[in-house]
Amino acid sequence: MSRRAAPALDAAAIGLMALAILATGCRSDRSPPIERRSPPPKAGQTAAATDTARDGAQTTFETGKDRFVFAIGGEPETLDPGRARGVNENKIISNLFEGLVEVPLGAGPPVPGVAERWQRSEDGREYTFHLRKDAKWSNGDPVTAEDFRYSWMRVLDKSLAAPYADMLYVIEGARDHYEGRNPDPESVAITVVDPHTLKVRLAYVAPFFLELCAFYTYRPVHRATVEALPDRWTRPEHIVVNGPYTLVEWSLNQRLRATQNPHYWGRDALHIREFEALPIQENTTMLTVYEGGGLDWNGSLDLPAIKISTLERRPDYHVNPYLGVYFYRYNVTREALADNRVRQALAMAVDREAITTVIKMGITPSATMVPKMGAYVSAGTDVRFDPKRARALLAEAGYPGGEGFPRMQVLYNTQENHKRIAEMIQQMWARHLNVQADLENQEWKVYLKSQRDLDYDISRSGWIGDYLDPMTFLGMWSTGNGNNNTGWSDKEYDGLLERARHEGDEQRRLDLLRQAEGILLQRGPVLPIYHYARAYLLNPAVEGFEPHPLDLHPIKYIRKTR
Amino acid sequence: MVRFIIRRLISSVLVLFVIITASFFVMKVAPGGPFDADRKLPDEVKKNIEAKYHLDKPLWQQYGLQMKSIVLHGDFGPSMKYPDRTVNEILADGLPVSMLLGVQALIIALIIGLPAGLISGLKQNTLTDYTVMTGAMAGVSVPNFVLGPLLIWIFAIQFQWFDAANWHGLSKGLGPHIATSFLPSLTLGMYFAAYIARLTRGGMLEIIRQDYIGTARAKGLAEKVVVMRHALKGAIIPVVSYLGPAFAAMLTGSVVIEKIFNIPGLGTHFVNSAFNRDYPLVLGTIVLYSALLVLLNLVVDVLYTVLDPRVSYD
Repeated sequence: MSRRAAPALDAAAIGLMALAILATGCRSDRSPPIERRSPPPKAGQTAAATDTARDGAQTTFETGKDRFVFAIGGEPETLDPGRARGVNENKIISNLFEGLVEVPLGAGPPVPGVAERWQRSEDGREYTFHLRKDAKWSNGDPVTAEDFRYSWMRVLDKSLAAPYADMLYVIEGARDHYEGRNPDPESVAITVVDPHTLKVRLAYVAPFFLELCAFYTYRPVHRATVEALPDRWTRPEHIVVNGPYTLVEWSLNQRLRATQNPHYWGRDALHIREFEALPIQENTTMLTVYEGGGLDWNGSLDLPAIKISTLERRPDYHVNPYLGVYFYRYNVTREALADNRVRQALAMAVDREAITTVIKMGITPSATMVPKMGAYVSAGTDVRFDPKRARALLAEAGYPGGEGFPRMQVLYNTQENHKRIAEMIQQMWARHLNVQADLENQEWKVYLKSQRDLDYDISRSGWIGDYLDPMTFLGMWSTGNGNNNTGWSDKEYDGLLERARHEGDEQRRLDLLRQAEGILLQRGPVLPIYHYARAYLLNPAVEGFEPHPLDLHPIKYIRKTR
Repeated sequence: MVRFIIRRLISSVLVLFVIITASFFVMKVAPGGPFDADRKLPDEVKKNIEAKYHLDKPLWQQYGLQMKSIVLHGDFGPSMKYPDRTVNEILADGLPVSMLLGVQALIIALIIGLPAGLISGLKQNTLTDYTVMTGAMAGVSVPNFVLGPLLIWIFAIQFQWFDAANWHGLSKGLGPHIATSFLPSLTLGMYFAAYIARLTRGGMLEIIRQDYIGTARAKGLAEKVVVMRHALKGAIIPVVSYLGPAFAAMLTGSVVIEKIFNIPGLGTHFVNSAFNRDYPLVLGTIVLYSALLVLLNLVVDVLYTVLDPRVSYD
């Protein structure tokens, strides 16, 4: 069935794009800007804001001064922090439930949430959190250390089938408990010292544990409500939250609406009275809604690629680095690709600058895997664009002038930009190395399966960090990791990661990780292409919205000037 | 007649049974599963999730469980993609939206199609006729994924008469509802309007040559009365019999329009559930659509006997 539907959708996308081109064309200098009639003001609406961009486009925001409206790329799967697994869900959950620590305004270390302060033990493996006494659930119940212990143990309970249960493996005993080797819940090192003190012991040194405490899987749920209505407790009529906002409407595929939680301890500091998230699937539709003044922010949707060159001249357009890397995977179980010289040759024939100037969207070409973050300095690499060396390496590997080199299949999931990039790389390999590649696109789930079954030669890939630590980009390449999917295994690499997991000194730990990344870039199964960026549109009246590497923008900081 | 209906109902049940069975096995053959994502689930986690949804059981057993639940309780179970909702709830949310959109599109199709067809039928081979029929040809030929964005650009962006998206349903009153639903209804109804215009024109041309119309004219009745009272009735019989299939086609054909205008109807689930491998939701939408089609076809067949005395099933 999906196969039948796909061409129609593709055709639809093409049609939309054609029209988008028409629309942009009409806005060129030759035709005078068309004056737009602003709609009559509606009841209950505060003064509308008008902003004139350089190209004459105008957006009259109709969202209201005390409301914040944004788009999400699809209906959230669930609002249960323990069961969620995605960006759309996070955009809402993180405003409804408050973790021990919270995402700061802009880049930076986590700030106090339910915990007002915390200590880390000498060996770096034990955390003690002191919870604020005025933290309350939206029904007036106090938020206690026991709430956190319950919520975390719930994620580790098999019957919940939490997809991100392994996010808690960093806690000592959690993995053994989840995998059934130690059924005793006491074996998991989460200790309630008193109602306002929580102690956690980690399985290894993980300075990113604080980051994890702000991750949605670690956010608390209200025990009585969850146990009374296991599958329905997230509905507006039942939900009990501890965050700044509480859900009042959830209409499937239409909108989610949340208003201030009357019992939230920091309620006086909130500026936004109500926020709304609109699930929109098509980014062209989203843009139309934004232009019509119905959105303050494009949220988790990308801007339509074809419109970027027009949008990027506007004052409400912004680009920020985003913690993700776009790269190609080599299947090293393929004979030709098992030779590192071949992998390096292919990488050296790729001109990343040429790709990023075409794709745009603020992305930066990069030959490294770990994006810039915190105190970590990437290992760097000498595997750079160098067609001459590439040819020499290929000849050394036994394929002079590309002779005798097997045709390579490049796999990607069906999407316009993946295709454009694959075509460019295909041409670069043909031109510089005389290596022929065939492009193969597959529907998302089929592509995932091919990649997992190692049923590919070279595969387009992307990886978005879960938290701000190099480990989120490096851990996956250890031998047998479920996300490795290349057949690559390196004893030295595994050893460095293992040592980093037990290194209490932060500088030395980062150093070990840097060495590991060096190996990955020198002889690993990856060809990094660029680091991600988020290009977004934001109502200029919005303040308290700062660039964040994981694109997190808590609504409790947001304020609108009009 | 009653025997015919009963016979048809029994065969419908059989048809549905075959559809469910075939869909169930075909969707299981598709590579990938509902819980595959770019971040792979650890084996232990995946095992637990699969156990929760009975995906660890042999295929025939899964089929048995699913059939039992559907036949005995009319329950498709929880959605695998949206664990906070059951499939029945999702369908109950989406169906009224798709129905409303379909009814509105049908009304628009009739308002545009009938007069257009009448006029062009009465003025056969004139400039008016050619213009209207060219328009109808265009209406049939222009795909809705071109028409939709075009209408948005003209009426939502340039003139700002209507909204481009943000379906409200009737909850916020008629005004906001029309603002958000007129463009998608028009886009969806356009093809059918064109088709109805052609049918009406054809019917008109046939009727206007009948003897009884000649008689009416000979009696000296005004042309207006001849057309409105005598010719129209006969001319729209083909249109009436077309309404059933048209409505069914609108319900199932709104997939693209729901996407363009961001409408929370069934079409979205029809397509996305397959991409998401949300097995229970795939089955649910297929069964619902099939049941609607089978039922509407039956209604049309029964209507034929009412409209046209020459048709009889006994």
